[in-house]
Amino acid sequence: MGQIRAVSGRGSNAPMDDLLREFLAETNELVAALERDLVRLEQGPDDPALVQLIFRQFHNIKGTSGFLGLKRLEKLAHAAENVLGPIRDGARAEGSEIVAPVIEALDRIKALLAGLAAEGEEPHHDDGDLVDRLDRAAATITAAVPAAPDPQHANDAGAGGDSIRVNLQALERLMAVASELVLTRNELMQLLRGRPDHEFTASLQRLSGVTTELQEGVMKLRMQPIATACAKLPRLVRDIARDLGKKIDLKIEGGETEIDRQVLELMRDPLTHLVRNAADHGIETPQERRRQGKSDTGTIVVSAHHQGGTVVIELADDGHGIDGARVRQKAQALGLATAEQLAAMGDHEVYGFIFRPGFTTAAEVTRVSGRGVGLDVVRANLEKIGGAIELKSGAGRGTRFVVRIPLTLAIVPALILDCAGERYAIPQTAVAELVQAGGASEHRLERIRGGTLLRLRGGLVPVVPLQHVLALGERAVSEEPCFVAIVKVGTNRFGVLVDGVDDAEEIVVKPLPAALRGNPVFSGTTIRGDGSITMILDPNGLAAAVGAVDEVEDKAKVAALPDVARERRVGVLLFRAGSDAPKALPLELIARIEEVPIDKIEYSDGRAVIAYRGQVMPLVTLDSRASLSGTGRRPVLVFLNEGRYAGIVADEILDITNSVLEIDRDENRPGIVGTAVIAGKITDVIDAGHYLLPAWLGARSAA
Amino acid sequence: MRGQHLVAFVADRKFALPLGLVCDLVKPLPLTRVPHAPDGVVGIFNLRGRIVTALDLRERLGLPGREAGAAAIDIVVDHRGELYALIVDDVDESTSPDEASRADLAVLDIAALIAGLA
Repeated sequence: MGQIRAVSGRGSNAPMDDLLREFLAETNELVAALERDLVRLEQGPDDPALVQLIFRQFHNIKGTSGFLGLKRLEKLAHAAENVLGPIRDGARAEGSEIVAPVIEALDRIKALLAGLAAEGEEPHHDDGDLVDRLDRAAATITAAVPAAPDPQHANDAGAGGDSIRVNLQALERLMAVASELVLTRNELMQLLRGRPDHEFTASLQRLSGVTTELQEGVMKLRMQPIATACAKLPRLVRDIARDLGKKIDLKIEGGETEIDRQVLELMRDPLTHLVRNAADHGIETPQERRRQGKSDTGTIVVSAHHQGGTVVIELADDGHGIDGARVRQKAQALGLATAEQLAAMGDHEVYGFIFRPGFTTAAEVTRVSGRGVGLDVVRANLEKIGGAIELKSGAGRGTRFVVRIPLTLAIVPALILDCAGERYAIPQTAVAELVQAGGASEHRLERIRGGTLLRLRGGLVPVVPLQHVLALGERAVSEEPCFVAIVKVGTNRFGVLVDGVDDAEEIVVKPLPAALRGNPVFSGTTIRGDGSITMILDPNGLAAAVGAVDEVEDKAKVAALPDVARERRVGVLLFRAGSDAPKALPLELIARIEEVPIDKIEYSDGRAVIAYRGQVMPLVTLDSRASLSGTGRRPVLVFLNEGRYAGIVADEILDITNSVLEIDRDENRPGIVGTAVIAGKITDVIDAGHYLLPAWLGARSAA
Repeated sequence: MRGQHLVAFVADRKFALPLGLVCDLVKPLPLTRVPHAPDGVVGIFNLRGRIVTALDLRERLGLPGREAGAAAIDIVVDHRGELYALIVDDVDESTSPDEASRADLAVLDIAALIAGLA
């Protein structure tokens, strides 16, 4: 199968002769292969074919560098070759003792190549010490027993004869031209739309087919096997295992799975991070593993496969896993959730916390990892390219990360949003759902204290008009029909209100022009079928711009309490508090109704509180003059907001009825939403938020 | 000896632009507005498949704004591989590039103009 390998061009500051450039590209590839092969040799020194291969690779480097007059490279490669020669010829040697200096030599060669690329000549230094060590290693190998050369591998050196190198920039340019061709084709298609009998129609159809084929072909050229991003992993794992006295076996499966090189580049760091974590924190020491009845050697498996338009990469280790109980403890200690919320969560949900900033369950910070760059960064980097990560694990059972990333970033499915007469694209991967709101829709928008909320299946989602985010003037959130795109970024969910939504389409992503690179809400641009440019919204940027959404949400939730249930029959609690007149509250706002002994009520800073379900629950009365003294028990209406309780102390529970709450609003009586006719009587409907908000805010600032 | 120049009118002023940087002169094309863009960037447009950032020179130079509907022309320049359109009122076609070089005119420093964005 033919193959084209993309080669990064280097800066054009120093003229470099083509020979040298070719040498660098080729040798860097050899070095990458050697790195992998040497680690394999260290693990299993008894593979003659492998030794033969490594020997020949060093021999190649020696030959070419000699030809180009690169003395240091030639000497090093020669010394390394000397160590391997006798082994190739059948001598026995202890793997790691022999391989370690050879790996050292490879590192030196890498440094020399880097210097060569930057300066155009070899850096001047002496390698005498290293060459000595290599020579000593060669000397320890026992006398050679001649062996016949392995004919099977004799032709390996020339592998890849049916592939050519292509300059990366040339490839990118080709991609850009193909994209432009697609756009021109689209323009023509639009011109001839609905004119099947036009003389150009048949030709255009052919042009269209060829264009699509060309574009797909160019896209394929950009694809690289995932194995290229894994090339450095064996060495990384080997070094960590050596440093920490562990035995680790790294397996890479599905390395041939192909992915766009741009995605591959962006994948490299997160993948390395996860593997480093697994080797450092996941896999136990051999002693520890023996105690648990596992084999001495731990295993890390990186596997990749295609699934629809995405690539799934799984990273599993058989180490000690992540203990759900410890994640819970830590989450509680960091105030991310209350004990009760945690108790109600499944392990799967709890594992989501490890992707929060500052979250680590590692008991100690080691040299290798755990230095502040955590899984939150991994997740953020993956989400930037429209990917996702989740964790499956269990204490003692190892850890398994599942990463999903798009095949390419060059063409993405996107929704086109209408806003203030302009159009904006948003990647479809970020949009959880589209909701039609306002007007006759069942989804209502509520305006509450400066914020807007969408009532969606019983939950509340904060909503911002796109127009505000883009500073395109005010947009009234009125009763007119509109669309809300529910955007999900990490654990953050918010709605973006727009005037309309067009069909989803595949867009060709172009980078932002230089003058706009700092723009917080756009990630790129695209040219549409009609030749106009559409800006692509960056979901992360939107989330940041929406900003203090959480706070708005908190406040709004409380304030929204009395707004439910205007049109349907709901359970209504009738109670007496402060005065004799019955008061009403929709039942669904109330978490529970409790009876508390009055003598258990305490005062903290003048505020009434009571111990309740592991919390200090603030209590309020509707009449500020009412005292909470005496004996006996009083009913308390308990409300729950963001995991915190607060209670309204009533005098008496009168009744629970089913009723349509048609509230006659009254803006002039604080604490009262208005009146409604319930069971034939005009009843005040309480604005619970009015009473509870100060209590919650007080409790929070005191906490 | 200075190179050849192109003379452009912006408000009541005349400026010279190094001709070597100019790729094209075009009538203003429909712009895509870019929210949160730096001052002076009025939008971007598509010129034969390439994205061009449009700068209003009146705004960039702190001169009074153009009246609605007034004529304008885009001078498209290449700066570090990116295209920019400098929107001016008109270009002076009666002055030859060589005359323009000798004329005592302020030369627009395009690099500085663009570097000052963001």
